Amino acid sequence: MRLISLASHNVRQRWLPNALTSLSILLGVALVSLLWMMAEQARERFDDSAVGYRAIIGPTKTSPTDLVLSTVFYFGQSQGIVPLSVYREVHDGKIAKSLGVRYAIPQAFGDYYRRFPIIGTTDEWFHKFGTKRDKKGKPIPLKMREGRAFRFGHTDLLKEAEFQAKHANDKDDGHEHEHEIPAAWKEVVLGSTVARRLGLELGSEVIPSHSAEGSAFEQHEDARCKVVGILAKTGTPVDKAIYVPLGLVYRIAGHEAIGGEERSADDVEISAIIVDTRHPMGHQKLRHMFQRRKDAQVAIPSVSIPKLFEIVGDIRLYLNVISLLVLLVAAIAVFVSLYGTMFERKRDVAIMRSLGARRRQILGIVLMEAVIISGSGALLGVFTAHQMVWIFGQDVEEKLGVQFSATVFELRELWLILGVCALGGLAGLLPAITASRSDVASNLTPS
Amino acid sequence: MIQLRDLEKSYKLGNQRVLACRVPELLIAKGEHVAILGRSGCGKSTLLHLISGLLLPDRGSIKVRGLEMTKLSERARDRFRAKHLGYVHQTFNLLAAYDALHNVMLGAFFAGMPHSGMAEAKAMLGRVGLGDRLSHKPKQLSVGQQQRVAIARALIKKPEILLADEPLGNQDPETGKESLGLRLEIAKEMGTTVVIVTHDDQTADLLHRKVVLPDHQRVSGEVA
Repeated sequence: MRLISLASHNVRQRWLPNALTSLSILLGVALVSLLWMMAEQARERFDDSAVGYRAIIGPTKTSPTDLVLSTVFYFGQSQGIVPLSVYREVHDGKIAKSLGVRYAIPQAFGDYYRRFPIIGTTDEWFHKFGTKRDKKGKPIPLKMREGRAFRFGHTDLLKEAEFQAKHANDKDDGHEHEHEIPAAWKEVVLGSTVARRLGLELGSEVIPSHSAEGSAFEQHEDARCKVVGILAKTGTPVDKAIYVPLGLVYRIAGHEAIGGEERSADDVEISAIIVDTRHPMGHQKLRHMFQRRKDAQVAIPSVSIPKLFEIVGDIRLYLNVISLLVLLVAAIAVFVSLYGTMFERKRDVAIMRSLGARRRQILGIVLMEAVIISGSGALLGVFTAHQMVWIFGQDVEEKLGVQFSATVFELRELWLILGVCALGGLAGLLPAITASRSDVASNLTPS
Repeated sequence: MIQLRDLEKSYKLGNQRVLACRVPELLIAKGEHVAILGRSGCGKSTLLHLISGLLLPDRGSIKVRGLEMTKLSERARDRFRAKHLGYVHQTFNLLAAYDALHNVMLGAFFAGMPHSGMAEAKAMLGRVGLGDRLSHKPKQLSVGQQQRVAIARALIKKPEILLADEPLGNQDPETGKESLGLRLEIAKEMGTTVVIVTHDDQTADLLHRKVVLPDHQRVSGEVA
């Protein structure tokens, strides 16, 4: 028998009010812990997701933040286009040489398959782009879990651009030709989440659709593709997209590769170009180069994402204030719960004192009760928050593409638990002093 | 063992002070079993509270084991009670939330006995005939059994002094005498000094000596 066992015995004795008090603390702590976890991990995951994207070249019609959101996280629709001429400059033109471009990968968005975005790109996406970097800062290429990448490279894109320009000019002259999609382009590679969520495997069929809802009317039957590869899980938005040859996107009926009045291969449209440079400051120089240009702009995810979190930061502050108020209410609940029982406990305290218990021991027992009630609530609160991340994390991952971990415990969660214990102890101080100072002789007789 | 001189204790009642206990002189030797007799309200229970250090007198001296209780700090009196004194209250004062074993262990715990006296508590409950009632809570025990748990709790630490308030108070005379006999027997084995407060002359006959407290209760004066 120890003081702690006496305290826990007392807590069990009044289990219902104490359990309700613990529950109120649990909810408060779970809210705080969940907010912290989501905020911290969201920040880390957002940063992680952008590792492979040193710079993004996109249309000038949109803001850099929107460009980052649509290119890295596939949120929203890309506004405007970038001409292929920009891509050529960056891929193997003057800019490529001066900045030491490691890769410049074109992307075209706009189609979906069962709510998952379809990204038209080249095979450099699989061979050069990476969501992680090695010690030297070089991207580690994406890995295939199954199958292979599709075969549509830089040269294929340039040839297709010539084809599209000719086709557009012929159309202008009134000579429209059927242009079939080559069978070799009807291949897709799936992100791991897409494959898991939709139950797709190698050989499965994917029909691009013009909208996320994907009604039969909007489906591009002519572009029925086969799954040839499934990427290994990255824990980034790469997992929630479907990758197709960029040429396929141009050939789909109803799509126009060149929208403007100009009709050269350089005017073929793309949504964005993902750029990586060997030079550590290459992306900043690239931005500088594009500052005055009207055909494209450069967004730097490592600059845009912190700005995004600055906006979210204010909301976090309010939520933290609300969470602290919830904890304060919980501390008051501890006080009320303990103080309310002081009258009925006076006799128990007097009996213990008559047996030789010192005031300090009585004080200790009541304080321990407060700490047990608040500590158990705090511990279960943190556990509940992690459970919630575990339960809803997969859903969040599928929607946002960022992976939240329920098993990562932060040191500050320990501080939160200790802080709540201290708060509970503080709330139990007055009831504890009252108990320890109650008169012994007069309380020994039953009232 | 116990020496009381010119002892007086009064209570405030409204704006008046009521004399609760007055003992000109009382000496109790080590190992002696003494019955304190007196009419209701003459201050018998107050006397036990004074001897145990739960109350301090308004004046006079209380020496127990050579220690002047009036000069001890509250903490020292707590220690004294925990180590050397067993107390069986009139209403037994068992903690309702604890079973018989843990009620007895509480006595050992506050006395600082190793392992909270679990083995000793079991043995003592066995000694008072409750070896098969260890996990019973007070409500599940008869009045007589509750009193025996209280006796076990008071005696587990082998106290030098055992105080008991109205041992027949809540039970039939036969059961009361049986449990009184039991506690006197154990106390004798331990060499414990026993002070029992009772209004029953027959109970007092079982002890070595009877001391009758005078019926002094009166208003002692106005409170300023």
